[in-house]
Amino acid sequence: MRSERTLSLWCPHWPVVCLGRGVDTVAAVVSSERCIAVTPAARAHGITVGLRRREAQSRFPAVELHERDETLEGRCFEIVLAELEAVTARLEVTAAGSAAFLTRGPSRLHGGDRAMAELVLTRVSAALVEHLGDGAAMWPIGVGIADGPAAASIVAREAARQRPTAEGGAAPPVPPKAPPVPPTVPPVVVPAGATAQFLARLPIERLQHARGEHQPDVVEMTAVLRRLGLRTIGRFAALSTADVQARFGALGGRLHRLAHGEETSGPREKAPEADLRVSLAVDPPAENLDRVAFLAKGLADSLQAELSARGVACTALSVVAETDAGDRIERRWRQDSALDAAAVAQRIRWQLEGWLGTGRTRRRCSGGVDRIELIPEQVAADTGVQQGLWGGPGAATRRAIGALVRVQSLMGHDAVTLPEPLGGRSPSEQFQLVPLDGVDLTDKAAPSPAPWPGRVPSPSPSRVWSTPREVEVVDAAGARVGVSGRGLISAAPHRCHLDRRGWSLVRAWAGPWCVDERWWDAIAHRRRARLQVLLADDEPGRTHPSTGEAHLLVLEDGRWWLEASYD
Amino acid sequence: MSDTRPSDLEQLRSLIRPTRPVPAEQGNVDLGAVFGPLFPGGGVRRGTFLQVDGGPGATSVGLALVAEPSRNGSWVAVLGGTDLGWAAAAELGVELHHLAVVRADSSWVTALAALIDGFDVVLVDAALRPSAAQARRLRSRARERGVVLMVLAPSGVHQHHRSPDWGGAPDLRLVVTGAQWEGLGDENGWGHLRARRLHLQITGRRGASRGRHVELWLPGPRGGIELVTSPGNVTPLRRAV
Repeated sequence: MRSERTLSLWCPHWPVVCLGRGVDTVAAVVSSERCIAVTPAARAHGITVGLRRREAQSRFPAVELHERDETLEGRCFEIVLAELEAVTARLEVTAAGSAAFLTRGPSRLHGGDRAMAELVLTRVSAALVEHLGDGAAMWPIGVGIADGPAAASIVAREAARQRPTAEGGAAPPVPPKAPPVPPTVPPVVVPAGATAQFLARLPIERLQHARGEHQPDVVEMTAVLRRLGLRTIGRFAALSTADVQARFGALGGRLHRLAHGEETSGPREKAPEADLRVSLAVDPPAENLDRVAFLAKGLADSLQAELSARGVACTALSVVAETDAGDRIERRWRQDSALDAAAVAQRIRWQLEGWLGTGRTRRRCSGGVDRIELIPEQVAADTGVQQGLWGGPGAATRRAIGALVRVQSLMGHDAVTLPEPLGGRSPSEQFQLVPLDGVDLTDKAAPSPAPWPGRVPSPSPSRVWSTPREVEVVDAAGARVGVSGRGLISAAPHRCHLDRRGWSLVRAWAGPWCVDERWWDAIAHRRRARLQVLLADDEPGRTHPSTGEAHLLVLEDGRWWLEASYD
Repeated sequence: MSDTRPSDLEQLRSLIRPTRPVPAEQGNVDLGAVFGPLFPGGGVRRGTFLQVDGGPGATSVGLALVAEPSRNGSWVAVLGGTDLGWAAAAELGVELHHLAVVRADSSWVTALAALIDGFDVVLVDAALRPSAAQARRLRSRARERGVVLMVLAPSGVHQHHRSPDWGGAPDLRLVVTGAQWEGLGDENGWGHLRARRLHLQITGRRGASRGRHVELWLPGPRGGIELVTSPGNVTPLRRAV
């Protein structure tokens, strides 16, 4: 890939920025019970990305926790993209929070790279303050210019890391009607050809940012490189290419080229071999956003079908929309995992929402949309497996969690529980119902079964009564059945009185399983004996001879209880 | 198309949360190697309303039916089943990571409607009795969303003896007509409950109105569910209660 000068814009903690909170509030955005973005104030209190909701609350009880709203993030990012579109015609968006464009044309127009970068920064900051309130003023926005999009995104993150300076630097004159823009971090412009030198002094972990979101294999590779002593990108670049390829394989080779400032495409990405673009003519031209979004969804589905038929999935897609008055908007959407039809439709909606205007926002085009076109720019072989950042939940899990959260708001926090294995001897101790908040849904490790001597052997009973009911078990002589201290049953049980139906005959029984738990603890000491009984049928003459109920009875302190039933 | 009072329209639009309609997926729910072939059509269609009742063993049948869907990634909700034995469910093959239990109280109908929106299979305890209108609404909603709704109505000790009434006959009904436990000895408390042969009768509205009788090991000698293949004695079936 050619390395073209690219400007990359990066808004760190974008999910939190969208909330409109200031930098000093302690807040975090949570997605499926894990924090995905935190404010700097929250980080100062020890709340980091990846923590569970409860752990975050334990570190700072007053932390504001918000559920992730991807639609809001996309919509808010449109504000930023609208400002960028004033500067350039063609944008590439990787995720909400990150955008890039080629600088060749716009830079000449605005008087050089640095001037253009500062203009972009000023305009974006002003737009954010205008739409999200003054709280958005102190959020750093990183703008970086380098050769090639991958290097530019690394540079942009470096820019965002800088400390804000007291004076704003040589900013171009701000339009008089706009409110004064508070000082922000200056943009970082790497001169042409100096990318490798700039990257050389950065720690090796920065290579993870080359393609946007963290990818597990790149993260692992950089960890390996650090352990081998290659702590900076420069040291890594100083190795010979052949050695790196031989030792680390294709991924290492790619990172090595990145370290030199050369662009690489993703591991399996290539331009589609045939022309896979699909387009739709909207007749009559539509001004209504919902109608256009609905039509675009159909288009996205047909593109998805086309791509699946060839066994590829799209990782970069250009969306073009034209109006009958001649306005045109074109934007490139990238994602490391493949874009499915729903994601494509969502992005088209975000793109058109800002452009067509929803009544509250200004229209930036004139006329109605009469043509939509989707052009896949990069495709990768469709493995069918899409892993989120935390080995994440699939669509079914997200839907289920959404429903459970709604039920929780209806019926209370502890109304929704999930069974968690505990381990124990009695059926009621083996599993417990844990409220939704306390369950780690991404943790797939099944606990290895520990041996519990004294357990009644499986199969386990399918009904475990939460409040055991007292019952009576007598032998043939009518005396209560007991179990001696040595575990010997006094006599064979003959009849049971379980409930209002009266006495039932015991056809067969097994046991007793004696358990003497916590003998060292005077308060928690429990001695119990369990018995499995198979009852004879209610009407012995008329019915099937072997049908019957099986129950698990437990004797404690001389009284019998119905603990569980084998229903 | 003129925009009359666009600000009001926008206000209304912003009030209505856009809910993406869940496509009612066509097709069957895979019930696994044992239960699948038992149903007409090879499986249970999405949106079916099932009732499991009968003698001892109905609870296990209900749990066994959701085992394969939960393993395949579908989420299962249980409304009101706080007395279920989860160890038994795990032994029958239910994937407990994809199962949630919701306590039922006076607003259970609304909760059930919310669960139908998000889950693929919902089990309801028969103690929860909806009115006729509520039952109709819930069933049609489940049918639209392609959710398998199952009412678990075992009879036995501590169970409710009134048969469930959900606005008409269920689409499929499984009745346990007999059960034989094996593993207990004749005297002295020898052995333990090891395996159970269940006699199941499956009836339905369409195509299976005559009913099928099946004999299953549930749980089987090796822990799972199996069809009874060994030619046992031909045992007379008890009439369904």
